[in-house]
Amino acid sequence: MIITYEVNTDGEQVKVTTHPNGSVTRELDRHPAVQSGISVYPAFDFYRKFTSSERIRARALASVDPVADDIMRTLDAAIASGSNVRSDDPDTINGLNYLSAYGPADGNGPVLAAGRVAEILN
Amino acid sequence: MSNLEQFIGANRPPATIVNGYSAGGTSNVIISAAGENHGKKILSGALTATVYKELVSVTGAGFIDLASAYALDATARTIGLKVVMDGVTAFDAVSASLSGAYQGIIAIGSRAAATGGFTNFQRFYFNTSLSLQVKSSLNETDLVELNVFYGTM
Repeated sequence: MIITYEVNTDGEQVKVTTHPNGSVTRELDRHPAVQSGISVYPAFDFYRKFTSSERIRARALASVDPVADDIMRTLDAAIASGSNVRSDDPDTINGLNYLSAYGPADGNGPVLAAGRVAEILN
Repeated sequence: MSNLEQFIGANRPPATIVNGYSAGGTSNVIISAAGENHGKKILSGALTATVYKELVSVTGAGFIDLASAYALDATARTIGLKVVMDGVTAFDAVSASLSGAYQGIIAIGSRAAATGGFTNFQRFYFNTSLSLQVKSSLNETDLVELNVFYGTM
């Protein structure tokens, strides 16, 4: 069984289950965080959980840091493809942790201040 | 009808479901506050007044035993429920004006009593697709719930 998620025209999450017999079921899935402890966001909605300052500083870091560049390119690709971002995805967690440890050379510290990783994930 | 259909006809989906709600204008208490049946409960999300919204769809063969929709608060409204099997609308009806939580309409299955009663399943098969849709007379979010029991084959 393969489970993926879509977003309907109301911006709501739809759980898509492909069964071994080839049948596909789609159910409106209103409370994934309550059910599983996992948050799932359309990639663009996830991107907008960052403040404008955080986005600008992340791009500045990405211009000189290949790890940050990969994080932002991965997020850009997710947005372009209409994919979702899951809070339990290792790429998501590692990416946010990296941005909370490193920042551009502007003297203002890491891209994400203390506590922001948890706020963005939830 | 082909020769083959004569033998598999028992699994054909209904073209029409007729019950106490199918003509519209009726309603009942569908579940109690305890929700004592085994159906899966799916919130409606955002509803636009009088516009059906698909909460469940299946592509493939399967069965359905129970489908009902009901309100989660006492705001006056009507609720509509539509069941489409293999592309044919078998049930499409709108309730009477509701005045309490857990009041609503049943398309498939039945309920023995308002509180403490049990739900009777009523199995129908579909061969290619199933669509379950709900609507409200109001613009509202997550105050209408679908109660469903279905499976794939």
